[in-house]
Amino acid sequence: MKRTIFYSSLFLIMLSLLTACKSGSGNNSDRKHAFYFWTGNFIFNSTDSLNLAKTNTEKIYVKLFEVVFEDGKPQPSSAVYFNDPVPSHLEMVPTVFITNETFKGIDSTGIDTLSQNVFLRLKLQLTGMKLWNKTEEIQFDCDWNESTRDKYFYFLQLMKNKMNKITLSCTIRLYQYKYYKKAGVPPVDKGLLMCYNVNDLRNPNNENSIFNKTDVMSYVKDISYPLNFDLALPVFSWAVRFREGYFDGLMNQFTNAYIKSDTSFVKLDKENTYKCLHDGYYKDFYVQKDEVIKIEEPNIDDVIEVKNYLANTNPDKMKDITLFSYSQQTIDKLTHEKLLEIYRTDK
Amino acid sequence: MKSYLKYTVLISSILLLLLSKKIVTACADYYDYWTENTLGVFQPNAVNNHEKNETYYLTANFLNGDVNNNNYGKELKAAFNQSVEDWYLHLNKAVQREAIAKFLDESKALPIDFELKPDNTNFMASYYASEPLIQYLNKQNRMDELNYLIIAKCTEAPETKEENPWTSFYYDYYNLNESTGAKIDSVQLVSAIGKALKNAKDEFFIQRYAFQLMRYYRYNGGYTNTIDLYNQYFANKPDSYLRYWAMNYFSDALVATEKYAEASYYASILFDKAAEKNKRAYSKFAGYEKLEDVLKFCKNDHERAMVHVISAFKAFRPSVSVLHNIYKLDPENSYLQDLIVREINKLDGDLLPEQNTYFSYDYDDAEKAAKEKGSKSLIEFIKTLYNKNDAQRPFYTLCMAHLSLLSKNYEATKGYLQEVKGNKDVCSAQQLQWLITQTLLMSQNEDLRTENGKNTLAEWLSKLIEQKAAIYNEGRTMDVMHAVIANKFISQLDNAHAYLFRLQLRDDWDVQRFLNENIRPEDIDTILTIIEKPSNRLDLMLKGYVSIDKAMLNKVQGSLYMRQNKPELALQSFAKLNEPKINMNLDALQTEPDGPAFHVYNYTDTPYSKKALQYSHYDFVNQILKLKADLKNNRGDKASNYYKLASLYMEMSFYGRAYSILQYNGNWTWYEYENAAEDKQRGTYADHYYGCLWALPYYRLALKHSHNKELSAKCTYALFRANRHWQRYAKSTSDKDIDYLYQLHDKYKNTEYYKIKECWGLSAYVAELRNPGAKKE
Repeated sequence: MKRTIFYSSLFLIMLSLLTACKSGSGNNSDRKHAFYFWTGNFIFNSTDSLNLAKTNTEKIYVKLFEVVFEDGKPQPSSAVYFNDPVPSHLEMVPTVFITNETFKGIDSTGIDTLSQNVFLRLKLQLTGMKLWNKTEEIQFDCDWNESTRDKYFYFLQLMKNKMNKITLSCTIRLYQYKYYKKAGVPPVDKGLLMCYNVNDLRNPNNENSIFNKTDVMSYVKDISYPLNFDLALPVFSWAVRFREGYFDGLMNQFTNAYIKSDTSFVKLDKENTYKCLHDGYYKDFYVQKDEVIKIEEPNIDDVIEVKNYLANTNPDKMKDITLFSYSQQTIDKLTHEKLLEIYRTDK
Repeated sequence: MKSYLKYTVLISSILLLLLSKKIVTACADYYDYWTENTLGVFQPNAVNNHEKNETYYLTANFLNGDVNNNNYGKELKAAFNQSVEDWYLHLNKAVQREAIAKFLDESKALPIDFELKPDNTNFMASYYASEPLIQYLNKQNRMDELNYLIIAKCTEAPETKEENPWTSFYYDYYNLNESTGAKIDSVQLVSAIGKALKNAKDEFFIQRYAFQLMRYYRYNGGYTNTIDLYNQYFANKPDSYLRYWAMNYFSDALVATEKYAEASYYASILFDKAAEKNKRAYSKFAGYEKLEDVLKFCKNDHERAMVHVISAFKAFRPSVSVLHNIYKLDPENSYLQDLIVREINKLDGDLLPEQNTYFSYDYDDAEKAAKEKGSKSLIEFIKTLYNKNDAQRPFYTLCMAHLSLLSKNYEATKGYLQEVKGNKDVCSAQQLQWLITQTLLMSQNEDLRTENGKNTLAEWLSKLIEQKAAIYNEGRTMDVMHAVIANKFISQLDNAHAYLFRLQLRDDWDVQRFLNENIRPEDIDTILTIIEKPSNRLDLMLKGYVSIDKAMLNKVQGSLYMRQNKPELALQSFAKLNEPKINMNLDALQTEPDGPAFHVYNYTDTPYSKKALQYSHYDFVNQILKLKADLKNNRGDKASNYYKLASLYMEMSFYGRAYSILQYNGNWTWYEYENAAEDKQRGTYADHYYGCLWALPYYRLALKHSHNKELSAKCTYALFRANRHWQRYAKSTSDKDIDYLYQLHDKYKNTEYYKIKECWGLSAYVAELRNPGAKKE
């Protein structure tokens, strides 16, 4: 009996030690690191390779094309041009963005044709790139709503039927996540929760349309989403320009550092908001006098906090982590170490 | 009647598509894709400086090729000529080659309602009245030939069918898009070609119909059919351009059916055998496949070597072991020499400084170490080949000569060169002479300016110029090595000779660069002397080869003196220009603000003002001197004179309308400011040109002496503007410019100058000032 107790205790101790070792490692090695490449021109050089290696990024999402509703029918648009091949050691997830207007505009027969066309195009393009038989996942991105939900889900179902072994995923916006009972759960293998674009960027009174911890938390807190999902986190910034109080477009190259260094802009009382004093070309954008420029960038510590919350509350459902989106500017600004911190999750 | 109907339907459907001007070879399209011609290195002789025997071509050119060469499309042209020749022989030389080529290459298809039957052959004859080929075939009643030509024209002609946006796209060079070539949506046509193929007895037609059908299927998604047709009609046929063109479609179809390794294997065959398809083949070999999988298809060592060759070309820096492999499998492989030349060129990039090679790469430490290791093993590999003493030895000797030169072992270089001297298969006499000369030159360490009273350096350099001229006559360029020599000896020449020598080295050399290289104005006097009174052989050579006009030199000299703020000397130089005299209106100086000066892209005389400032170089400088003299002698209104003087200096700056006084041949662009100004070296000239430093004190003096509120307002605004430029240029955090604005607002808001918003650039600031909530930043 004594011996039994001894061996049982020894077994339990070893088991605890093993468990402790595993949890003490800190990183969840199962979660892949990924980046979005949301660009019209895929350029990939050795620096990019190094950046991805230093951030342990194994997967990239590349938007292959968009589907828009034009001339009364769905049409492909904004196809990416591959200047360089996708490195063979990276997993590429082809992504297709479909406008919500497309689903507003077509009927169920149209959806059949659309699914055939999209599939044909994906297959043709990926085969031509010699990637078709390597493709593990295909993703669709659509900001569906209640009125288009059924058509979009029908489209996804048709795509799923064609995909064979390929994983089908789709993006899920925050309100679709929170109000999943109303917005529905898409018939895909997994979702990708987009933890950004929380507010309307066209509203000059919004503090930060990209990421605001309070707003994001209000969408994700205490929600038990019925589908496995990857997490997409923002690492981008942009400048929103307003003319006479109205939204007038985005400027990606503008950063706080740049605008502060340029005497042609004066800071206004509102945080990260500036006014242009002279008409002129700034970072290749023509900005007019009196235009108001609002620099928006996520607070990375807040992003990490939200990620930790989601990872802790969905330890099994939450899968890989994707950063939106890749650019050298982002890497330079945030550094490899900071990006690794964003990726890091404890399980 | 039944057969008549059938025939009519067939022909009508064929002719439905014959509306294009697309050139037709009747066996294949002549100009397939523009990309065919862009990879010069694979097409020896296509690009002059890519010839294998030449040890220099820029690696940077490797993938882009040289589209400006005169032999553009030579390989495609050769394939086309072969097609013409086939027809010529097929017709027993009864029709001239030129006539065949004209029809195949240029003729349009027949009109849509044409019906080929004995009754209307006259129509066809009249339609093709200027085509001796058709006239002959018609006269001889050669219906087989006529039928084939009609079908070929039809399948090769792009037609007017609406493109399917889902399948017509271009995303990169691996494309399988279906938008190119024939898109004939006609079951009848396919059936007609199929029937013609079945009925054809003559191999001449069998292969051509099979090719046309393959072509049709390739561009219409019938990949399995494409593969079957190739296997049936071409796989076991002797080599011919038609077979390789069919193989090209075949390999596309293999990619489309996901047989990637096999497709890559055929790509390597095409790369090897079909010069006109080598760029396409190179693209198809994407490198995603494992080499072992591709090698499985190879039938012999040469084919295996070719797979290694193409993958080595794909790798920017292939390991030397790959070269070893190629040599082991196929010692005579001609691409091995190309690869070696390419690697040596990369060593140039590594071992020679950037200014000599015009290209450089940023390596991190790990890359550097790998590169050095690679360099050593490459040298060892070439040495092994050299020591084998086989038929290729002369080539490897030349490589060794070059590598020794790069490692500064000049004695060894001389030895190797001696070995290949006179071997015209390896290098021309000119080329060899050039290599010997540069070796001798590079090996000279002593001062060559005088040797036993003789100007040895001048002798050497004049020899170089002669050789350069000779090499140019051969259509080759050797700029890199010239630059090496020039850089080595530039310090031994006086400045004037050095610049002239460099000037003759560079085709793209321009005056702007001349100025940027810190030449001194007094050197220009020497240059003028060399040009006007050459005193030795070098001077004579330079005079002969350098195209430089005296007026330009005087302009440059004047500008250089102005950069040193020496208007008296500049005036002497500008006086020689004999420009027409202009009465400058000094009141027009800098009356307009320069807000928009930051965003004018076009090359106008005036960067910001709608009014052109009329001036000549001489007048402008003369005005400066005159104003200075007036100020010195207390003539005229002091404040006004200071203001004008300051404005003249301002006009000479980057923001002014007379910037050409300082920046000869300069283009006023935003690019210049962003790229040149931001990285500029601080100095007297730059401080003024970008920072307005010369104008600032004169504006201050003008303000100090001014008793006129209007002038004071102008001066205050000018000071705001000049300070703003200075702060921006010097990256200053001062807000002096804003101080001037407040001053303007506080003291001069009632002036006309302020009221009429001549200084409209201020309006935003003014609005801020007037806004009670605005705070001073």
